[in-house]
Amino acid sequence: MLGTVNNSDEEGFKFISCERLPAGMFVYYNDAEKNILCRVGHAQPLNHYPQEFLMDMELDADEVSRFYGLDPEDFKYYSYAASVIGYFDAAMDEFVNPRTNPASGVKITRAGDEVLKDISKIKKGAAGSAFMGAVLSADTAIVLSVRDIVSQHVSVIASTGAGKSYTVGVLVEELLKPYNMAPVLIFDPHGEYSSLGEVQNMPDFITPSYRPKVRTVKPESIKIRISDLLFSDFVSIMDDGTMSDKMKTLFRSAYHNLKNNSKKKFTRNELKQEIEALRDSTNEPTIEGILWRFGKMYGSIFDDFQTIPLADYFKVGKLTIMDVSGIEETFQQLIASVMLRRLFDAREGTENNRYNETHVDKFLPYPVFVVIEEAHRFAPHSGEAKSKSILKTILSEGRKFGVGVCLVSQRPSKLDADSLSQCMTQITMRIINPTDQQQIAQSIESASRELISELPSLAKGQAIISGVAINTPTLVRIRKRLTSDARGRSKDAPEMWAAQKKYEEKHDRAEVRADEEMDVGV
Amino acid sequence: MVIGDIIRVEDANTYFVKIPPDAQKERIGRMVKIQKTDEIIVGVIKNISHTIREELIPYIEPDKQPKYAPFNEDFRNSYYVVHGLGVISSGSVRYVIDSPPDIRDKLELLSPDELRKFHTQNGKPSAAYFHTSRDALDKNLLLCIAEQVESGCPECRPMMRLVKKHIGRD
Repeated sequence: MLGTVNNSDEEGFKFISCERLPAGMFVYYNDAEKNILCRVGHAQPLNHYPQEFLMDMELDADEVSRFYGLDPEDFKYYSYAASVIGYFDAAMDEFVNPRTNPASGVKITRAGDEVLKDISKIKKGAAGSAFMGAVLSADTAIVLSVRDIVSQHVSVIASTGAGKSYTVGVLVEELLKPYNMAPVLIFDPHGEYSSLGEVQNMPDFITPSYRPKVRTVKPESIKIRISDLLFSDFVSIMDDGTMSDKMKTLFRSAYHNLKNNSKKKFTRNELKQEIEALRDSTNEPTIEGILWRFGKMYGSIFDDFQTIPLADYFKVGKLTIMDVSGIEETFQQLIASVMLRRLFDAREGTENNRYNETHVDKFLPYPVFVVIEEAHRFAPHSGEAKSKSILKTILSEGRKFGVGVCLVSQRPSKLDADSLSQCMTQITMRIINPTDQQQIAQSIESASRELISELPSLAKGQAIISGVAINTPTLVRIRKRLTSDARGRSKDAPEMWAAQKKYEEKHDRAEVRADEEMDVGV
Repeated sequence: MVIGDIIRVEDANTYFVKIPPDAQKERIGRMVKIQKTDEIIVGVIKNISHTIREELIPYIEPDKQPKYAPFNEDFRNSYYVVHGLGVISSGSVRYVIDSPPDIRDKLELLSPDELRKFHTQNGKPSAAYFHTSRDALDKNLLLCIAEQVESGCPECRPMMRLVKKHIGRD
């Protein structure tokens, strides 16, 4: 026994215990042969020492209390606020709230494996499972339903250094396990997921019939096919704020002439010729202006033929890491936009029988999963990003077509609220910024709001997991990653400086004095 | 030194003590004792009363007055109201009184040795009766006791300083 119920109100109930219990911990009581799971909230001491007894730094408050006639043990009890989650109904496969609070005097017990196992929707190691870690105050495994994650999206939100990329790594590892074999793509603006390539040679991921594949696409290999761009994409690249309405109108004509001419795939030169074709005596300077701006489309990222090879990127049991580090942010958005647009079109077209095996690179007959790192860059709360519209479309309609998205961000307040609220499973780690906390509170289900106050105090690697992929919001200690985690870690600057100093001493690099350097010139 | 005789025991903790005529009166808050055969009841003068209920005298027959109003002849009679705090018994201290004093028991001043003994429990400084006496004794009375304890029992001083602050706040 852990404690005894004292009283209850509309917020929940309070119980008294002499044990120190962390907020978010699970307890239960028995009612009519049912174990009713409850979550412990905030605690406060049942009795307070008289404040004067705490004023002498040398004297122990217990000693003064005893001297005064108070029993020091009376100050060792805590009153815990707790809320009822419910009993697990096997038929409904979820927790059912009994809609009553326990009566005063009811005994409260620490929830063990037998009760906590029902928090997970699926068993560890089963097909469609993602073992993320253990309940914070216990060892019970927390396993998410991959089916729910992929169909209804997931968000991973955390301050920098809280273990966000690490957690995404764990999730991706689970998706690549033999019992999932998911096609996964990580859109990686920092190039920090390359170590996931280790899964190809790890026994945990290999069976006689399966071995995951990992491909890292380097920035220089990423190309955007010119004909995959929309008119608005062209304008956003070409317009530096000086493109007149007349220029845009003429360019639109050229673009649509080419598109309407059943020329779905075209080259830059063909588009250029189409612009030239519009030239007459009245628009000479305007055409010149368009052509001058069109020069930007000859940048190395654009190509007449090469594009993002969807069919190659999204294969069962394959992880593709699109390393877009070093690419300008607007182009990162453009790449994301084109990739997501093509992906959505492929899945929607395949589901609606518009595409079949003959449509190379458009036929995608299975659900896929895309991780968008630094999601606030691609779907910002304020301002526009080229990728925002398609991302919102996928988040709202992706469920029907099997495009699962994982939004990863350290600034939820800068992330589009609609997009965030479409992620029906949330993995939320330490968040210190109050604005970010507020944003999270607004976008996640009400049951987990009581855990929001825990966000600033979460340690590295601890997370609140809530939403459809789990039966009740839970504080989780994220499991150890199987692959190494070198890239995401903060640099130990003093250690690196010391190493550099040692290196320089070893190689005895002659110090160049300023005056000597000048002598060379003289 | 005997400072009075118990003439009434109201309850286990409250006793009325008749002060002998012309005796010098002790101050309210003074710690006192009642010596029993095998124990000492320690208390404090809670109040001094000069009020004598004379209004009933006319209704009592003169021959019965010595029996029912024996102190009526001396109009200067005064009484201490003593509040019992605890017992020193066979060297140990208890802050509870389970056997109140008897009528005509003698009230005496508590000696410095007895004061120190009364504030030592299991070898440690203690004034644990303070908490239980909060309702029965008013703030000033408790502060008065605290001062006596501070001066007579130096080892209690650091803790009594905090207790005084606590009592003084309320």
